[in-house]
Amino acid sequence: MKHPLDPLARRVEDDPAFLGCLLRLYAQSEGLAEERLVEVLGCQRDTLNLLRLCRAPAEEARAFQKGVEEISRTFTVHPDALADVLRRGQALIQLSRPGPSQGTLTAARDAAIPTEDKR
Amino acid sequence: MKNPSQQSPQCLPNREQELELHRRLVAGDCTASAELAQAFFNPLIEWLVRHNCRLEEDLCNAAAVEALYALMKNPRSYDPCREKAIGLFGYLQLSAQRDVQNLLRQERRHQRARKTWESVEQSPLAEKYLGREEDPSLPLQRKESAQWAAAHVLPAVRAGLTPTELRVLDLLLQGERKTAVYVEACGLGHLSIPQQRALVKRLKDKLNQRIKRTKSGHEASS
Repeated sequence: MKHPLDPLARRVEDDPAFLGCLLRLYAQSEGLAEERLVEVLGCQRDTLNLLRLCRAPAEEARAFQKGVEEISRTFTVHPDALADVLRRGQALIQLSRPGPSQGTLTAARDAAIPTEDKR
Repeated sequence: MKNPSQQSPQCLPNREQELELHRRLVAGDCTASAELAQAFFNPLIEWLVRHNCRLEEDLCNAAAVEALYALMKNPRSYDPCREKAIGLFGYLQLSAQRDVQNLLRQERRHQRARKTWESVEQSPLAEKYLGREEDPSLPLQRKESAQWAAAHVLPAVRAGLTPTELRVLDLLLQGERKTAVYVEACGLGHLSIPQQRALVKRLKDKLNQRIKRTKSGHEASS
């Protein structure tokens, strides 16, 4: 079924500044379909696009925690599950980047990532 | 120009809500971009469709996506002091309308660059038109001729060409006439203009000869 915000949610899926990118990478790494991702996050399907359109929280621990709590509270998502999903997504972005810091699993934001594995 | 916010739907956030949402966007609030999309995406599409009634809805959709994404990425592009008269939705309307124009321009460029049957007709591959110019069957004959050339002659012409020659062939088939385009495609920009012209001409002549020979061979055998 088509959801009203689908086109905009798809637009942010390649941009690590948005949750859409992190959620996509997490789902790909786990081989999850959208329905299963919704279950993991403990949210409604209609909420998923709004989550995708949120800005990714900063990587620094306190800011990350604050961001996760704010998003969880606003869109009624399980905070621990969301934190796990986002951390994995950030790590995958970092791993996908070439350069000396590759493999350090440091979270990162705001740069283009390869899209050849996009669904 | 008429102030676009005068045509805004009633359900939109009021001025104070717009300002607060924009302040949160600028501050990097994680949920503000989602709330912005929730509040403005559909009204923006509706407005674009109403004001561009001759355009396809997909194009209006794409323009709304681009306008909102641009603001989400760079919220400071809207200055509430400078754009006080139009408000945030008015700003999005103007931005999306510009995106509509940009998308239309891109579409036109794309249409021009497309390799159409007509361009193949005009290429050296198509010369065997039998009817008079006013013959109503001429367009069909041309189309069939172009299809025959594309199916039988082109693969044989392409075989064995270098990547540069293939690029030149594609340009010939598109009906390109500007030497500068060939120069760029062949990477000859470092040469003097007379040298560029000579090399481009040599390449084009070589390919035209090859096309004629291949076509003659196919016509003789068919």
